[in-house]
Amino acid sequence: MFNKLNKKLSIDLPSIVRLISVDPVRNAVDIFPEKLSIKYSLVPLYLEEKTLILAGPLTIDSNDMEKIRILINHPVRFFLCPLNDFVDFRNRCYPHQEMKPDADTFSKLFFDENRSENMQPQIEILSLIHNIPHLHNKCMFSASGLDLLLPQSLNREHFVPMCWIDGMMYCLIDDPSNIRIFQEKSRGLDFQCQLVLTSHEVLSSVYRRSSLIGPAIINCSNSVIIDSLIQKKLLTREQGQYALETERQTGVSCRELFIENRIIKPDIWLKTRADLLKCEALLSEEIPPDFLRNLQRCKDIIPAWIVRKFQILPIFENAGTLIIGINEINFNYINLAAAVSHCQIELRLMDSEIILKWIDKIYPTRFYRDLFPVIHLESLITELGYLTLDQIQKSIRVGIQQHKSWLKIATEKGYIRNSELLEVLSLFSGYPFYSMDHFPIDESLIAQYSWEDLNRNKVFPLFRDEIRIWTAISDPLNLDGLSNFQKISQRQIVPIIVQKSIFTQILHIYSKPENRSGAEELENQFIEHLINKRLITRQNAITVIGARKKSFIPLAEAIELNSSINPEELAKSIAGFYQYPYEDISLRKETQFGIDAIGNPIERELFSDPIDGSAACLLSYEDAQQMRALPIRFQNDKTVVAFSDIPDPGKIDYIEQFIDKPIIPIITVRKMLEDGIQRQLGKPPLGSILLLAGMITRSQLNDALDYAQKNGIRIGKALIYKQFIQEDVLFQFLAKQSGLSYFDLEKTDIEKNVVQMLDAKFERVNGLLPVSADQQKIILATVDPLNYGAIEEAKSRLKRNVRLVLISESKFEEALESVYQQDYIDESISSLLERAPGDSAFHILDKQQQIFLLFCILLSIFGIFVNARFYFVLLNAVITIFYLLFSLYKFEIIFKAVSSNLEIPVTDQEIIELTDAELPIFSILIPVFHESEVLSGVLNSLMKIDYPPARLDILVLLEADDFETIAEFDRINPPRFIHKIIVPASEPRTKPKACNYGLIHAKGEYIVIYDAEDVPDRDQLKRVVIAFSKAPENVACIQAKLNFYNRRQNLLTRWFTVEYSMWFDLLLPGLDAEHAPIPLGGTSNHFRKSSLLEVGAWDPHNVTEDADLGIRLFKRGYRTRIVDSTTYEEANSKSENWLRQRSRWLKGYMVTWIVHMRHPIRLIQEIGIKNFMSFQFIVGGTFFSALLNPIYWTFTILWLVLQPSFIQKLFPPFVFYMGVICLYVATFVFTYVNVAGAMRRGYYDMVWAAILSPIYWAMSSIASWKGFIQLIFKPHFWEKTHHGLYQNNHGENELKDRNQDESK
Amino acid sequence: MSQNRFQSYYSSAVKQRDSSFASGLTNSMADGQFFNHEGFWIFAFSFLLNIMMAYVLYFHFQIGNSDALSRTANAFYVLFSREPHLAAVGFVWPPLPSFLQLPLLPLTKYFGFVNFTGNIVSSIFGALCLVLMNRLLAKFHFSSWIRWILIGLLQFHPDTFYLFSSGMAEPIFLFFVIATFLGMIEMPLTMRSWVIAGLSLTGAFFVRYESLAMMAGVGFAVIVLLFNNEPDWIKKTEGWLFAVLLPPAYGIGLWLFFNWTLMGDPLFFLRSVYSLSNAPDIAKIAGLTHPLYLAYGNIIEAIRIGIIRSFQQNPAYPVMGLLAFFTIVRSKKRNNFSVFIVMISITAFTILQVYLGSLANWMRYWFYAAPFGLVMAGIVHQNLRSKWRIPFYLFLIFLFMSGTPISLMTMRNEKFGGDEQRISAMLLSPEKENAIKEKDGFWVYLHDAPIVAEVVDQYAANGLVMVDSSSSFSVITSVKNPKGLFISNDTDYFKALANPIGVVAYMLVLDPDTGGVINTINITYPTLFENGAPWATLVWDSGESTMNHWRIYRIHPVESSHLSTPGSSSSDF
Repeated sequence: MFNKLNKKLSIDLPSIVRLISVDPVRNAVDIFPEKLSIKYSLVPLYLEEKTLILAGPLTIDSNDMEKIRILINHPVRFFLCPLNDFVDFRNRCYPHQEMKPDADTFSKLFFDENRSENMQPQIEILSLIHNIPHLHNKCMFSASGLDLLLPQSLNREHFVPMCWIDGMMYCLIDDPSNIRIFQEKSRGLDFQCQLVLTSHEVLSSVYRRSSLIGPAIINCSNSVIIDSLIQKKLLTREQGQYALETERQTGVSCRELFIENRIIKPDIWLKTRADLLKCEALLSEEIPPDFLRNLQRCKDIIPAWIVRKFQILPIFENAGTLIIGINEINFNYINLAAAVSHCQIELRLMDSEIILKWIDKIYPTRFYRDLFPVIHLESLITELGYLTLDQIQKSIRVGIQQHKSWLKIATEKGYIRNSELLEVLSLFSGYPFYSMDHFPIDESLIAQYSWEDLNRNKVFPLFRDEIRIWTAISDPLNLDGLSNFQKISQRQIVPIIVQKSIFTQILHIYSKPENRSGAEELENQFIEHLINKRLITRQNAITVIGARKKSFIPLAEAIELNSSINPEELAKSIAGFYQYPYEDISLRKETQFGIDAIGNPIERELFSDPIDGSAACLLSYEDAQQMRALPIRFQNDKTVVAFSDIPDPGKIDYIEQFIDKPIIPIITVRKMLEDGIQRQLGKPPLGSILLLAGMITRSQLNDALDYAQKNGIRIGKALIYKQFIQEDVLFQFLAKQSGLSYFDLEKTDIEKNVVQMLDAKFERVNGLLPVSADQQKIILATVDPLNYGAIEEAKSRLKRNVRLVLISESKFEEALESVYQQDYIDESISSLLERAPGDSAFHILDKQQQIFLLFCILLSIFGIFVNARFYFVLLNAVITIFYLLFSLYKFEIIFKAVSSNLEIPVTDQEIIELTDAELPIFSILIPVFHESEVLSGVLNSLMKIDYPPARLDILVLLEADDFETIAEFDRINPPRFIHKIIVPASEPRTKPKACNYGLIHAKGEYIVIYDAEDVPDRDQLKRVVIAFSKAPENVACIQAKLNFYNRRQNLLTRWFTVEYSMWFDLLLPGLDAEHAPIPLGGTSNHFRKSSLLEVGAWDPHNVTEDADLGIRLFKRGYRTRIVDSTTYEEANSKSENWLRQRSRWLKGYMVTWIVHMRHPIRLIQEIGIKNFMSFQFIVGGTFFSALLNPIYWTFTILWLVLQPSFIQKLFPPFVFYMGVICLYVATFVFTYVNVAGAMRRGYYDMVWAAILSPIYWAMSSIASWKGFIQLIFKPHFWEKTHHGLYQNNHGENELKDRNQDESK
Repeated sequence: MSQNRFQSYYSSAVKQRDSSFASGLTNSMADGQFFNHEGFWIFAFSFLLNIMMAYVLYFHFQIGNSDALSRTANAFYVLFSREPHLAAVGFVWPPLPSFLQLPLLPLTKYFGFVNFTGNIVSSIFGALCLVLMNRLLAKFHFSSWIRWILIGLLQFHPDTFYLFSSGMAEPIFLFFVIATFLGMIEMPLTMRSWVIAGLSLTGAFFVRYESLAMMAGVGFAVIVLLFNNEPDWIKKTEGWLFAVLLPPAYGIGLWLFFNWTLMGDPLFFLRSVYSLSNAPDIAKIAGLTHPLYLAYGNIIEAIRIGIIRSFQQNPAYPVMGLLAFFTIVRSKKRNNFSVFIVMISITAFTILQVYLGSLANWMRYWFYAAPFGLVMAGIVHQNLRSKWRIPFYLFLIFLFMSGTPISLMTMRNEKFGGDEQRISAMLLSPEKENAIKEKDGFWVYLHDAPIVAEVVDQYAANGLVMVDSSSSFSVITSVKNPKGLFISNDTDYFKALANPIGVVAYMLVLDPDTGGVINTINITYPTLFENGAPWATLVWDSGESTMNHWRIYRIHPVESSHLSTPGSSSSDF
């Protein structure tokens, strides 16, 4: 297990070899004489080949190793071991050295009748006396399988195996008197065992819980197997009876009989047995090719001697599951395997001969490492469940970065508590640990050693007897320190592990007693009082004192923060100790009964404050905070003042002087005092104000607080989103809280020239609005009084006195709208035109283009007059070449996309891991015009979208004269995060203009457009957020895929669907992979707002503003990526409606092509020749092919029917062959890619429709010519597509289909 | 081992690692680029071998197949005839093999070995077949060494080696067949599978008409793959069938369309004078005791012939086929079954041709036994436990090796050998080689062509020489001035044939008794060769200088009424 971690981390982690309870290996001891053992503090463990393995408590340098090697004439290898183990083992290696100290002489030190009531210290002390670790973690798993390894003679009631770590068993005992019994009976065990002391209570209640239910062994008799074989007609009844009889008489098993006589194959016997036992069998003939390799891999999972003894063969291990081969189903063995391997076990029944054969092949007969297990600290921690591998890994990485111990990092990060770590270190080293609570320190002992010695060696002597000295250490691997101290003290060291923080404190406090001043006497008495009352531990006390010294915080606060004492109990203790009264000054709940408007009785909760405001005012907020005191009421001529700390006489005098009145001190809980100060003197929290006013209930407040925390928003906003309070009411209370006036827009007229005193953009971004002004001052309305920076900025810009008032967000928007509406609409229309006229479609053809067009026309006329045939052939050749290249390019792009997924990958797990607070604000723009019938649908689907409403900013863009849709919006009355934006009526009446208008109002970091009939995937926004986070900075747009929910409505919708599937699932991802410009789809394109603004947003004069924007983004160096999420739309199901839409699109493509071809050379320079060609093919080719198709189809039909000679003349062989390829190959390619689209989507029932695509292109060509004619006469006309044709009829069924598809 | 058992061995712990067919798809070799490092070396190795063998066969021994020459000639007409046009490629044979030669022809014409163009193309495709076969075997989990050994065996299989270097269309067809297998084997796990399978089928159709059987096989295999696999399997099957079969269906449609628009009959390729359906009924004329005659109308006998021929080509095919069948029945792996079906469909079609009596008895019609043997072995191998693998490899290699002598021995047989007889004879009984050579059409064509071409060139200087391309193609490709020939692939050939006076100056006529049976001039004017005609004068007779008997008639500039009508002469024939 731990090897894996080591590999993962590629670093060395501490490990230690344990030497307890095993007899020394004689041949090793013989080689290594005692003299050397004493000189170098080493013990011989065993001989591995010729190498002598040594262990010692101190690190040893290479020179010494070399010397040893020469002296004993054997190569040596060295392991670290704990001091205890070393001493004990050396005593056993060289018996005359053994010392048997008398534990009873000092055990009395610890047994104090006052403390015996608590079980915990007893266990600790017992573990100290017997020098073994102890445990009080009740959450351990039991490992009942390990019972098998203990000698039968041990009483199982008192010895409970806890776990198996790195080849060592940790065994719990509850009675120290059993230690000796265990030591006697466990000599010669095949493994090492560390006894761990625990209470009888823990032992009996926790560790015995998973005893077996039912029999331990499940088997089936030979007669049953024979019956089964007879039933399978593999045996005759006579053969069966004969075998059973022979078995009874001779003892030769039936199985042997059958197998030897080749009546039954071993595998068949095994299979039958497995079937009867209802388990899997691994037949010899099914042994897989990599079997041996897997066995080798599993070799170290279960110790060899266990494998041999119990014939459990580990076969395969993966992800915590171990497959074992076993001959009989013995749950004891299975439990043992599980306990030893720490894996889940799966069984395969195998023949015992085969098991033995493989065991002999893989496992050596003697394996010393089993007997001297190397324990890894990290392994121990993970196996005991304190930390995960990931946590360790993280701690180690941080530790390396910060040059700290990883254990320290793990405790700092809160992965493991100090007390838990102490236990682990104790189990790791075998040293007992001590919490240091309530222990008597022998100051005379400490005085014998210099502080420098103790500090240098990091040891602290606790007590001693004749021959030993019990020494506290914080690091079990501090073997050098222990060894040095042993030399200094001339006694045998018994290490005791204590927490590092405590160790440092006691070293600090007790080594320098002169530092302890008398001024702290009273506090120390109080602390002693608390320790005596068992409210805090001594350990807490040390920490408290340390904290006080470090940061000078008041005592009560230090105690409260550094112990688990109940604050109320602490306050009462202070009151009791210093003899002051205690009082609760928190809000008191009262229930008010009343009757509502229709006569029903209602209950209302109100809260009253026991603090008298007029008394509280005697101190300022700052003074009260500083003194940690608050006058709470007047009592006769005195003032009652609440303290949360010990009020020393100096402080009382000071306050009396300050308020000029005698005071009566009372003690209260610190939190209550702080709340009281805040309530009466500070700015009370908005929640409290609303609560006290009865505007919200406590549960609503809690709910809103949760919501606010989760979404990273303020409480006020949370209350509004939760609809617990109206916005106006909230802002009135907010005004009260912030001490500002509330500005009511309806009651006051705002002056336009005043509003315009600040920049409109500044006002919108910062929520500030000058609302009125006179000579001296300006009234500045704000939506956020805490936006100090912006307010200061506004003040400096206005250069006059400013009076701040509060305005609600909706009123603020209203005010801005009333003042700046015309500016906004001007910006929406002309922003791009002003910034980059060359990119605007306001004028379709610029002057140069007009001249070029005229030149082309004249050249054509000239060409026709001079040599008409040559002219037309040339034209034909150019067109054909372009068409051919366009077809090949499209095919190449799509073929690449068919073979792989080219979208930005976003996994479901990543979506699950997103937290609401980290999500950015997402603005959704929904331009709607005369679409009242589908409005509720889109709003419903957006309300269901998986994105926190607090992070959503949905803007429904309604045209001012579209009264019907506006009325519908008002009727639906959607929740707060869906806003209505009225776009003033103006020309051009296009979607991009509305979007630009909406963009001005959008607050989000990201912007997306959905059409009114759209149903996006629920998690689309989250997917996009993740996709943006993965994409490079230059990705300005992420396009989601579009498809249709009414695809099966008729043939037209089927064609439309396969076309969209090809376009969005194959072509766009293919273009994305080619780094080519992507003409965006009409909706579901998600933008970074900043990038969108930078490129001038949408062109209001372009009827395919989406495609145009995609190209403009690309020209500015931005990229578009595709995400695998779909928005479902309504496919046009009526041909005339489809023609309208398609003609608009194709016209838009023509416009986009013309606009970006104004400066072809510049375009090549901007995007490169490859992308220039891609633009020609994808944007130009799309409408160009649609325009040309009817001409060439006509030629083809004419040729087939009439074979006129002029056609032949137009197609000389070179052109003809390319034309043939265009006609026959390109037709196929374009059909085939639609088939690919349908297949990619899994729309198998649409493939046939894809095959009929050529008819669909004929329709496209009609639309194309319509669009072309419109381009000449009405270039900016937005031909509206009617939506809602479908839901009226079939909505339910088709959405069901969609869900089914999604589930696939 | 059953599927369940196989999957349960490592249970959940390893489910994702093995146990399914998909593991083949993760094989790096199997999924690599078409021309990765390994593919390149296989190609280079095989191509060099093929081209060297082609050189030896063509230039030293003049061994080859006249059909191969004819395909080259078809390509030649497209570029170098009096009237170069694509349709000159002809509408009898599928045109792709000829089209593939077009890019090479200018080069080979320049260096003067036009007839060798086909050998180059077949060598290239032979090598490509091995590259694809290597990928296919990788998908069947063969390790690289074993793959190379098997590919070596395939390369050196006598019939395969011969076909790869002989200029025939078989390697091209085999290339598309293996590509189809590659598609099928990924089906329905990857999106590209249907594209690969569909386009390969289309390619195969434009090489050989046997692909029609393969299309049926693929269709059936798709149904088998998806049958009852998921709730809406019918829709899925429908979609997959459309997607896979769309390209070949379009290809067939296009072929019919071109036949219709250019030759006036959508089934021209089937019904023209040159088509196979108009060839003499092979089984009927084979003789009462001939195996083909016995199999004619007797399905059992036809199957028996199929099995024997396959065995004679490569014993691995029937043996491994049988093992593969049992393996599939046991493992129930649909992908394996689908590949099996496609393979069997081609064999079944060939057996059907034997049953219908329309297949010649030549060995090369069973050439796919060698590559298919490997594919069948792959199916077995994929389901084989590791302990059986070594014996399996040895057995497979043994079968392949034993196939070589069997194949060579069979080739020696006059009845089965076809053009391969000469190779067999050279290797096994050189003394008979001379006798066989003189009967070998290919050798005769190469022998006669330069002699006749020289004469034709002389006459062509005086006026157009009408030449029937079906029997005189070798002459056409050998002349120095092809513009002086009026060949049957020219658009107005039949019009001119009916009334040659004033259109052509000479006619090259081949004796119907020495190979000129399917010669439109002989069909139109059956007595012209023997007796001449009033409107024509014999100006040259090849006599003994050529193996076949050639004559050139000069056409008198007289009225057409003197001619016999084409209709009557056709009926005479």
